[in-house]
Amino acid sequence: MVSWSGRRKALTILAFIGPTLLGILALNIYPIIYNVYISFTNRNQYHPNPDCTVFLTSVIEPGCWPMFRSNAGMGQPYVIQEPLFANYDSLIGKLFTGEGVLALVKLALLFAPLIIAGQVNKRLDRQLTRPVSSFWVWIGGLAITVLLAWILNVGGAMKTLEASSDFFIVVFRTLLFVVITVPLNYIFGLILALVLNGDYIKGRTFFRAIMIIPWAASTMFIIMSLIWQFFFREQGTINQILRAFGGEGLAWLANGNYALAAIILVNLWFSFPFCFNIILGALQSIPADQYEAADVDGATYWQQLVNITLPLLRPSVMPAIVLSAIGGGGFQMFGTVWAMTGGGPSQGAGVPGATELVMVYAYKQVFQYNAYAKAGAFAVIIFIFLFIATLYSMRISRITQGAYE
Amino acid sequence: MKKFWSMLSVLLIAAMLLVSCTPKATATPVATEETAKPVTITIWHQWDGAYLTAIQAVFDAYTAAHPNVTIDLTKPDNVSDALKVAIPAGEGPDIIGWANDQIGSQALVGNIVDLGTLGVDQAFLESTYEPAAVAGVVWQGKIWALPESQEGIAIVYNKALASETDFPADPTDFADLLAKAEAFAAANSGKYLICNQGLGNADAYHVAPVYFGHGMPTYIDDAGNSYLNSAEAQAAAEWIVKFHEVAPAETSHEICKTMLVEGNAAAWWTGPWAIADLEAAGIDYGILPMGSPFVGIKSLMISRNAVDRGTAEVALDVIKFFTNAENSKTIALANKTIPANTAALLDADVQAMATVAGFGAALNLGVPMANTPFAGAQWGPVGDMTNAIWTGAQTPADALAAAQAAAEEAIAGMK
Amino acid sequence: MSRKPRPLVLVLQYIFLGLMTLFALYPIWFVILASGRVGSRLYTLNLLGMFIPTEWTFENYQVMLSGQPYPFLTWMRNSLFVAGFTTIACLLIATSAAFAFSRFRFYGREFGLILLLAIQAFPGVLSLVPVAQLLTAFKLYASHWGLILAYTIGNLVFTTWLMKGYFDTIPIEIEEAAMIDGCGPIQSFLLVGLPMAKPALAVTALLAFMGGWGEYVFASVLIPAPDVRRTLMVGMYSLANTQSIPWGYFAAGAVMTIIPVILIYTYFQKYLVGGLTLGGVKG
Repeated sequence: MVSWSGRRKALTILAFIGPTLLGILALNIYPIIYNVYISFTNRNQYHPNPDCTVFLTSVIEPGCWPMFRSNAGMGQPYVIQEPLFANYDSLIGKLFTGEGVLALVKLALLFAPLIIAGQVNKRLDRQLTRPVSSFWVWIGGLAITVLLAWILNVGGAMKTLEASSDFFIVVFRTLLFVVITVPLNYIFGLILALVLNGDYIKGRTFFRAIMIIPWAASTMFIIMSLIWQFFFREQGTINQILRAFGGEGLAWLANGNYALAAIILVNLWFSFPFCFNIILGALQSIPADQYEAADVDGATYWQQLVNITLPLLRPSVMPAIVLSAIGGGGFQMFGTVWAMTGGGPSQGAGVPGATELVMVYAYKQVFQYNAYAKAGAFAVIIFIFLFIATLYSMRISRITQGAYE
Repeated sequence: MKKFWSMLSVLLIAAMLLVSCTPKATATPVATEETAKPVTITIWHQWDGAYLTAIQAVFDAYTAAHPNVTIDLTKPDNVSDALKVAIPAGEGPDIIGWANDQIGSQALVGNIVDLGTLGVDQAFLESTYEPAAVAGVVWQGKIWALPESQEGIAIVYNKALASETDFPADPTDFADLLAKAEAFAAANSGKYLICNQGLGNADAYHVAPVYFGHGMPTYIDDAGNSYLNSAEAQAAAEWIVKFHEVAPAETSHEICKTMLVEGNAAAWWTGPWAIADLEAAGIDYGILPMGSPFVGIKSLMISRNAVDRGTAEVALDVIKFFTNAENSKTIALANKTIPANTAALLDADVQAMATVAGFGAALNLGVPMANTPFAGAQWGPVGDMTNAIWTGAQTPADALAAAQAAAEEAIAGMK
Repeated sequence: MSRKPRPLVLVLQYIFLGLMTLFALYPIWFVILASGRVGSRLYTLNLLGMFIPTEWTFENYQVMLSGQPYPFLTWMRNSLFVAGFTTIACLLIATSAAFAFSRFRFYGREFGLILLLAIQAFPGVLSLVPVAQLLTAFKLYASHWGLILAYTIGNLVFTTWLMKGYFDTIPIEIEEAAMIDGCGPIQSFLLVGLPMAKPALAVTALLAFMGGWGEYVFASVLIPAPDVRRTLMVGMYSLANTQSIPWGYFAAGAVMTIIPVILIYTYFQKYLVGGLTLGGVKG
């Protein structure tokens, strides 16, 4: 890089990234600061308005800025909570009582066999000949997990945690959704890409063109989600077809488990073409001589898949997987759920609905219950959680280093 | 690649061209010296379907008589979401057309203004509108809206599929209703006697006749006491569990309407707003009271944006015009609603309508809908609790206890 | 991996392809069929009619295009306007930022890149209210320009990363040669860097455009009214949010909204795939 004087360089760089910086500050950082502040107040339906005589409020709350007209509602203004962390305490406080911590520890223990299995595999990989294949090590780890779950009575621990807070239910359900939906999307994308990468398939171009259609439609997810919602109704298309064959349908979206399954299926429809296209692109960039060498060695299809294809796909596909798990197709899923079920079906008053994922919960708290402060605290916790997840996943997937730099 | 790039530019340019062809915002009529300053009145409402046609005609009549006034009717997807941001931003409507249960919470935030400050007094209110409607728009001694119509739900049945004898003669006899629904389902395989969109859908409003019909006084009263976990509620919940066997599992306004029109349900437990659509579909219907419904007052409020913009006087004139005797009568006759305006209600033509007799009987059995901010705490818990009972996610006892706790928690947040 | 598999496996592969084709196409086909049927029902009681067009009319399309009672073409124009300017703004801002992040070494560079990704972790729906209030302060609430601003910033993270990834794959020596020839960093960017990044620019543009075209939540809150100012997605959703949904009109509108996008995507498929994976695979 040609070097120039410090000040000129600084100005040039500022000119290049200035607009981005400004935009991010105003529309990303400011809302975060605003929500952090609100999360320490008691702002809700009954304390809706700012008290502009408080210095911090008058700075942070736009309603106090000179360009706004004064507000003359009959409600009490909101004030800083006493104690300060009251909203956080009501959200996750019970998770940290003796019983809650015990249940959390039990849950955490479940992951131990899997982590150990991973480490064992790593060590075995370094040996010249493996005594057991990695598959069986994983199976062993899983079996011990199941055994542990039974010994520790994890079902009971889950009940304790679910009773203790909305927060746990919502986050746990969202994680469950991510753990199912993201691998499912990529597995379908991978199988499809492997099949359509073979030049013996007739009409490859046709099939590839077809598979892009849901991707195009997914940009307008709100419309297509409504259509899908119609399919799953009691009087909807799926049941109509079932009835024609003498079957008996049910109101799919009125049952919590079926509703979640329906959302996963619809999300598959929206997402698999993207996964397929990314994997196909990566597959085509794998040099053919890799396989030719393996053919000479007499490696089977599966051996080639596990030893050549998947490791070579990893660097280009991993960042996409991580980003979709953290982003709108995974943890921050909103639109599809909102249009399909609105977070329902209800599991009773005061409890999140069966498909109320993190974003839907936050949206409902703000827009349906006006619980700004509670939603703010919820968002801050989620933010910290996802922030750490992002940093960690950037390390393991090397988004910042390996693939791009 | 070149092809791609040029194609993209063509697309973008086409987009820009299309945009530049857009006519600029509709030119306001040129004000002659005689007419007053042009004013645009924005109304956000929840009128829907065929029901809106007659209402639109009344506003058209107003703008014809006042050429300087333009009235813009918009139905935002979700009025409460839109108001939350729009009114503080100064971009809200001048008039909000909404049910009266919103009065308390909107007044609390300061979105709507006390009509007393615009010169509306209690004497005018009492001399113009029905007493129930007047009570519905007054909160804490102030007048927050002008009432348009009174609403309550009743059983609207298709005469081609059922007759009066298919329903209980005594509108409080729920055991009989259940028995008749079972008999109908047994006689007509795959069909249902009644579609109620409060059962099979989180909707505390439409399920109210069941709870109140079993003796619950109301969900949450004006003092903030909730009655969700009572012996009456328990009885109603157990009735709901039994009724589930002979009713469609999943409902909504649209589903119930389609079921009635296609003959899959003999009756629809609904209100006056549905009648216009049913008449358009050519259904010969009868109306019978059942249980005790929530009696809501459709009303028109004036937002604080109207005061800021200086359009409040005109807005008030518009809503007075809309709810005067003549226009109330016109709308009532077209939409088969029950006007809040006393003179319109007492009109012979209005009194002769079958809907006034049918829905009127239901209103007489009804429970007035609260307009305090507490009212906001009832919809969520009752809807969720009923849905959980309906789908079997919770037992009636658990569901009622949870709803009571949720409502009390919400109310404690206010006090 | 191109060895021809055994016949049984091949048959299984074709069955899989067939099922996936059905899965991918049926919802769209269903909407197309419904758009040609009269009446306000989305379904037909005739089972055959759910798979092949047993009746067909253009009435729904005529109603949607006539502008009464729904200003469909105005919605479409609004969406084109918003998405078009979002694309341009995104390209301008993100490209220059991406270039700086890729080419210059400065204090806070790593931090800035990570920050870009990490702020994505904040739940977007919670920033709706403050963003709306901020736009109001700048007199941009309920205006298309405010929406364009929000979309542009919302797309920045993704587009900056995509472009940076691509710039990283272009050898720096070419620009250095230009700089030795007397170009400043800005000229070398405009004259050398940009022209070489055309494929990535094109993909970025397409994705930014589609992001603006299909977004719903922000559009519904930032432009609640009047009807003629709404974007296509908000308008279409409002059709389905009435008590008596005009499904026939809705389906016709949906077809007219979706089919052009499908055509564009099909046409650009090769570049889309290439542009998205380029940065990753080459690295």
